[in-house]
Amino acid sequence: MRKDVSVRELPTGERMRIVKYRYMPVGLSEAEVSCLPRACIVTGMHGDELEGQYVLYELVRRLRSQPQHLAGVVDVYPAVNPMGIGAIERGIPQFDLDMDRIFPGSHDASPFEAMAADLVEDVRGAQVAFDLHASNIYLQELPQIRISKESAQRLLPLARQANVDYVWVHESAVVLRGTFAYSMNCLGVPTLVVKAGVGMRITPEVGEQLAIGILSVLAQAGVWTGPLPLVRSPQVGTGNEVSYLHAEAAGMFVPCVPFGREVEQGQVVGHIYDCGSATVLQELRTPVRGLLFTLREYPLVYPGNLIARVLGGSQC
Amino acid sequence: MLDESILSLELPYRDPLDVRAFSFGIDASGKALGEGGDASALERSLCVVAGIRGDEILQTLVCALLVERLEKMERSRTLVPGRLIQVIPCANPASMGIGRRFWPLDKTDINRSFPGSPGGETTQRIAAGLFEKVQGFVYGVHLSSFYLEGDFVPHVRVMLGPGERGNHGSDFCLPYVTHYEPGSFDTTTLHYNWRRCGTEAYSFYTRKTTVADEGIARDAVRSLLRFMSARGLTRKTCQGGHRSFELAEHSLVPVHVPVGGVCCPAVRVGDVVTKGQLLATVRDLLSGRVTARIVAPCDGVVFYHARTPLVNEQTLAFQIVPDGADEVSPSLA
Repeated sequence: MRKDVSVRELPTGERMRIVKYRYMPVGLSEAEVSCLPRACIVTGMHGDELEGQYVLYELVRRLRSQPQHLAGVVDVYPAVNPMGIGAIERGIPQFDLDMDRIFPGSHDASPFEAMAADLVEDVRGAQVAFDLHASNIYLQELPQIRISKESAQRLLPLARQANVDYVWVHESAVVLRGTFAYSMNCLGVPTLVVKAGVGMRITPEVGEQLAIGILSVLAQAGVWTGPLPLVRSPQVGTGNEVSYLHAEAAGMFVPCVPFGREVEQGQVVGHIYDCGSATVLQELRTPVRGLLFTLREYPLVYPGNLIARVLGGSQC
Repeated sequence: MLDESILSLELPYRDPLDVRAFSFGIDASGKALGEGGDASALERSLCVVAGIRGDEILQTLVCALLVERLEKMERSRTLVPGRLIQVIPCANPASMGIGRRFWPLDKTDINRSFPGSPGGETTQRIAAGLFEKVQGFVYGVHLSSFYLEGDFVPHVRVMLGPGERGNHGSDFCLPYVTHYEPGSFDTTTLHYNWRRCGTEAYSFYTRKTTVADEGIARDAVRSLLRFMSARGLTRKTCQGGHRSFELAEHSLVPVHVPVGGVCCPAVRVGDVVTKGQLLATVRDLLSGRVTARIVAPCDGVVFYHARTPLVNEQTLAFQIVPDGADEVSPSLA
C-alpha cells in the first residue's frame, strides 16, 4: 500500500511528496495492524546517496516473497528528499540547509521543515527505525552503523544484529541534534543510522548485506518471523580507535590498495599526482595497522580532504 | 593600513586561496599602522568579516568601502589611538571567484564549520585558520546572509548565549536589533564561536545579498562607523541612523503562501502595513489565474520578504514586526 506522508505544492503545480509503502500481515486491515509492532526504514535524505534504494529493493523483495512471515508492519520511505534525488543534490533544491539538520522540523517554518515534521509524526510510535545513507561521492565506506555514546546502551544490541562491518560509537555533537535519528531516539523510537558504499552509485552486495541485516533487526523487534542467514559480527569501536589520513597536497588521488581489507602500518594507500608534470606530490601511508573501512573515491583532492580511515589504532 | 594574507591554501589547477585582512590603528607613539606603527601593542578592538559564502557580494562590497574609509581615517588620525580594527572583506574568494555560495568541491558551508580543525577537512582547516586570526577581539561583526533567499530591513542579530557578553547592538543605529536562541545548527557558526570565546559578536544583515548596490553598502558602512564611534574606536561621529527597536525573533509574525505559484508582491520591506492589507498575489504559473491573495495578519512593518518569484506551498513569504510587539531589554543575561 502506497501513501503520501507529506505533500506540498511547487510553483508549477507539481506536488512534492514524501511517500511510504506499507507491508503488513496478509489478511489484516489497517485497524487490525495498529496494535502490531512497526518498523520504519527511511532513505533518500541526501539526494545523491542511492545505496539505500537497492537496500529497500532487496528488503521488500524478501518481504513480498514470504508474506506469511510478516508478524508486524514495515513502512519504507524510499525518498524523503525527492527533489534532491531528482536533481542529484545532497540537499534540498531551493534550500540551503541539509535536510538531516532540520529535524524535528516545524509546521510554522518553510515547506521543507514542515515536511520534516510530517515525517517525524509518521514514524513516531515505531518499535525500530533505520535511516539509510550512502557515503557521499568522495568517500567509499564499509557498511557501518553510527550511534552516539548517549544512545549506545539502547542501540548497540540492535546494531550488532544489523549485519554491518563496523559499529561506530561516537561522541555526541550538538550539531547532530538536528538529525532525524536524534529526534526519533529522543521520541523513544530506537533509530539506527547506517552508512555504506559510495554516493551516486548502487553497490549490489551492499544492498544484499544490509537487507539481511534489517530483516535480522526486524526479527528481534517481532516484525519478521522468517528464516535468516547468520549475520556478521561487527567490530565495535569509539572514535579513539579510528585513525585518519588526510591529503596535504592539491591534485589527483589514485589509490593502490584494495578497499575494506586489513592494512599494515606504513603501507602505501595511494598517491596524489600533479598529472601535467608527472610529479608525485604526496605518498600516503597508513598511520596504523587495521581495517581500511573508508577510502577516497573521488580523485580530485584539496589539502585537508579525507583519504582514508583505519580502524585498529595498533601501531607496531 | 596593513594589508596582509592571513590564510593560504593550495587549490588544484587554480591559484592558491588567499584570504586578505586589512588592519587599521594608531599606536601609542602616534604612528599609523600604514606608517610602520606597532600593531601588536594595540587592543584588538573590532573585527569585521564578510564573504564567508561566495554569493555575499553586497557584504563584501560593504567591507571594501569600509576599508577605503578607514584608510582615510587612519591617515587623518580620526581613529582613537591604541585600538586595532581588522576587516576581512572576503573570507572565501575561492567560491566567490566562480560564483558559488559554498565550497566549490564538496559544497560545504564554511559558516557551518567553526571553530574548525587545523588537521581536518578542507573547510574545517579554512575555518580554523580564519578563526585563529579573528579571535581575541572585543567586538566581532559578521556581515552574513540568511538561509532563505530574501530582502530584510537592515538589522543586527544578537545570539542569546553562549557566554554572557554585553549587547550594544543599538549602537549600529539600524531599525532593529533581534535576539535569538541558537539552534543546534548555529553552534558551528562564526557568531556562536566568537561569543563562546568571549567576543561580543553581531550578525549584520543588509537589505540584500547578491547585488553590488553602492547606496545600500554606504548605508551599512555608516552603521558600522556609528558603532565604532559609540564604542570609542573613532573620534568622528556619523550622523543619521535610527533609534533601534530590540525584539525577540520569535515575536516576528510569519506569513506563509497557501499554494504554489508566481508570487507578485504588493509591498516592500520596510513598508508599514495594516491588518487585511494586500501583501502579495499568487497566480497559477500556467493559467495566470489568481489562486491566493496574501494579506497582512496584523498591523506592523514588513521585516522580511522572500525574493524568489516562484513559491512553493508554505513558503515563508513575509515576516511582519507587529505593532505592539514587546521591546526586549538589551541585556542578554
